[in-house]
Amino acid sequence: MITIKDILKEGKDEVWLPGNLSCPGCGASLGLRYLARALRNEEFYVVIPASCSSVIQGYWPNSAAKFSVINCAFASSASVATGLSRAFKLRNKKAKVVVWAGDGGTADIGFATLSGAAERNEDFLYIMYDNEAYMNTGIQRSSQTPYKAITTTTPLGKREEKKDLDLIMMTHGVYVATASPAFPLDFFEKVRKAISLPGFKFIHFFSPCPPGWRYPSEKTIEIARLAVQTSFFILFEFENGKVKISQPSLAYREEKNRKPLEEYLKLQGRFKDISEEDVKRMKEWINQKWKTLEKFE
Amino acid sequence: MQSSSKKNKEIKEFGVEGLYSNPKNPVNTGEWRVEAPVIDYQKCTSCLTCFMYCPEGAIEVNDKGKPKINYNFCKGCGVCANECPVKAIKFVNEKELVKK
Amino acid sequence: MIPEKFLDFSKRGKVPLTGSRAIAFGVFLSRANFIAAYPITPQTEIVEDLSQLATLREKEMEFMKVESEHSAMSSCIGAAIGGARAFTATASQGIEYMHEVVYWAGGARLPIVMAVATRVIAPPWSIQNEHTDFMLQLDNSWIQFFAKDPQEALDTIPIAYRVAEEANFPAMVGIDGYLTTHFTTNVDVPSQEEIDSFLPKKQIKDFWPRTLYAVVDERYFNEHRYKQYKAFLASSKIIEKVEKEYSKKIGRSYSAIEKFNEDSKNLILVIGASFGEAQLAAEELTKEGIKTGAIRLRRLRPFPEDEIKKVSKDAEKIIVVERSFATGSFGFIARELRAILGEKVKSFTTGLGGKDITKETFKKAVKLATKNERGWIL
Repeated sequence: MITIKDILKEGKDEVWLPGNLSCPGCGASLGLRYLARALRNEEFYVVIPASCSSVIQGYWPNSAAKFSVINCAFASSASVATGLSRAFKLRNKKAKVVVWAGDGGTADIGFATLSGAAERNEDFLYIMYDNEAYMNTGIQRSSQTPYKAITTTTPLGKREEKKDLDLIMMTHGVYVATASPAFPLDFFEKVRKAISLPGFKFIHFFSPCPPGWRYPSEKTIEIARLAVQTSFFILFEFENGKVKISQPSLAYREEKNRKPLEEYLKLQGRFKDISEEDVKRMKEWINQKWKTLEKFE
Repeated sequence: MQSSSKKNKEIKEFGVEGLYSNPKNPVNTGEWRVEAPVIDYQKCTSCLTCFMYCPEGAIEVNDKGKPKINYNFCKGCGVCANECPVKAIKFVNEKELVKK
Repeated sequence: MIPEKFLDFSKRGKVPLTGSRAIAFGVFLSRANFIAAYPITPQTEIVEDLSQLATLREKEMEFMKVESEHSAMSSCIGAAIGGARAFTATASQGIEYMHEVVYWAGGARLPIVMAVATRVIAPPWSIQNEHTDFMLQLDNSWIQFFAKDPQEALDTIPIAYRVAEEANFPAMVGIDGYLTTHFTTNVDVPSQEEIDSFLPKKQIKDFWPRTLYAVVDERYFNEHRYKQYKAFLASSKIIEKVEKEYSKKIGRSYSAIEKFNEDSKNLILVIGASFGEAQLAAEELTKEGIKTGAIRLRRLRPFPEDEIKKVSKDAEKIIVVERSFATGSFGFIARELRAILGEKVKSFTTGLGGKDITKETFKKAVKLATKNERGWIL
């Protein structure tokens, strides 16, 4: 397992430059910082569709990315990455292609292109950074918004469950992993492993958002950690038909070992109208998620 | 009279520069801060948790392995202070920082 | 399936080809190495032929089976950025579905070539010929050609690539659905060597580690578009140069306008395959005493303003007969001509949904134009 000292030894300077336009405490900015450091020894091209990330890079002519970014239309990130990776292969260029897309551009508007690229087993790494709503346009609900979360388009709380995109990608038969900014070394390992595999790889990165989830910015990592400790977000890898629960989530398989879900929910203003019944239903959902994952273990 | 190949190159490049950006810190986001974090080096154990978790990458590590906050870019989000295992980082008002 | 005997590209020769197959041959001869196209009538045969031709160059030519037209154009964008020579083909619903990314390719200045086999845009459903889908792509920063027959369709593809790669703008080639795509004529197919001498290998410029297409704010955006506009208009000089070179190397000349009896006082203006019927109508009307000529607009964008002004200097009436559905005051091309030439431009709509356009149609139009400045021929 990589350590912080290893990361520093590879390079002290940032590859995702500070001074970007993200909100203080942004999970996506942290994710890009980790991604850039993890791939710093490669020539890598990141395709970014319309999302917060297309703005936090900064305005022309400065870019916070010390790597190549290709901005593209909202629904087309997987297709642009397809064309790019195939063109590189045609001229034997050894460069890596990564997609860094939000939950809207992946699970909603970009769903068709995502599924097409996964089905054809295109050779690139697709990372969905999940801030659980359409944050860039001002916090509207997406299919990845959890049950009973308040957004501007669900003022009384979302009525539907969070769409299980991990399971959908697992049925495409590709490498699937989940990661959290509270466990950066685990994320580093998964990125490095995924980028070395052939074919389509999917990583689901949990990205807390202070203005969107309505919490004070200093709690970003605390909330990301609590999400894993309550099993609201489970860290695992899926490869060759088998699920392997990642080390940080192993302890929380049993319900009695998990931190109480209320601790996670009460930190976030978007869950302020939640009732006891809702919490019970959410705990059921978490148990159901574990059962589904265990079927593949 | 410019040679036609030079003029053609100019014509081709019209507007293409607006499509490319170069790596450079976009904005001095340190100006966004209202409160600033200050590290108490007496308590600091160089675990580098703050360096790891800063969403901005505004904490640098010096040759002695100690974290150093880059106040040009620190947005004052507070993640470092919240995560420091020995509570070595506290927030002070921006004016006090200038005095230091 | 393309018969084996037609697959020898080492020698120049006459081959019976449909418009679709001619486009596929043109793309193959241009050494396009990234094809991403979604089938849609009447372009399906282009996709099928290219899929077969790609097997002849297994390691060097990539045929992507994309899941939608939006993905087709997006992958062409990604491939063009990555240094491949990209091609796609589509029609009506498809080109409207990919409309967002067609605009993106124009603004991104990527040298992609697209063939559009024109067809009605639903509703009501129809797979028949109409130019509306091509006309709705005006002003996308795409260079636009419209070919009248399979020969021109084949020749325009290498010209389009050469122009696109020198001017850094994408180019689209329109052909009439069914009238050209499914119509067979003997086409003179140049040899691979001849096309290679005309169209060199694509120059690849690596841009690591720069960022592409980031946000441009109000301080710079207006000027950025102005520069793009200037470059687009200047590309007409590049097109003329390239067409002259094609004429010298391959032996066929093309220009923005094709003329027939252009010194007449009535000029019928058409786009595409109905030019033949327009010429017949012009001859018959001249015999009847109404001196008429015909012009075919081959290049729609950049609009050949100077050529149009020159050719219509002595004409009293320009009778524009358009095969596209426009709900504005005048047809798509007629309004542009009117802006340049004024009231002598008369705008007529006909032939929608595949309705036959014959010399009688044109004769009716010329007669209507004596008293009306716009109308429909039903």
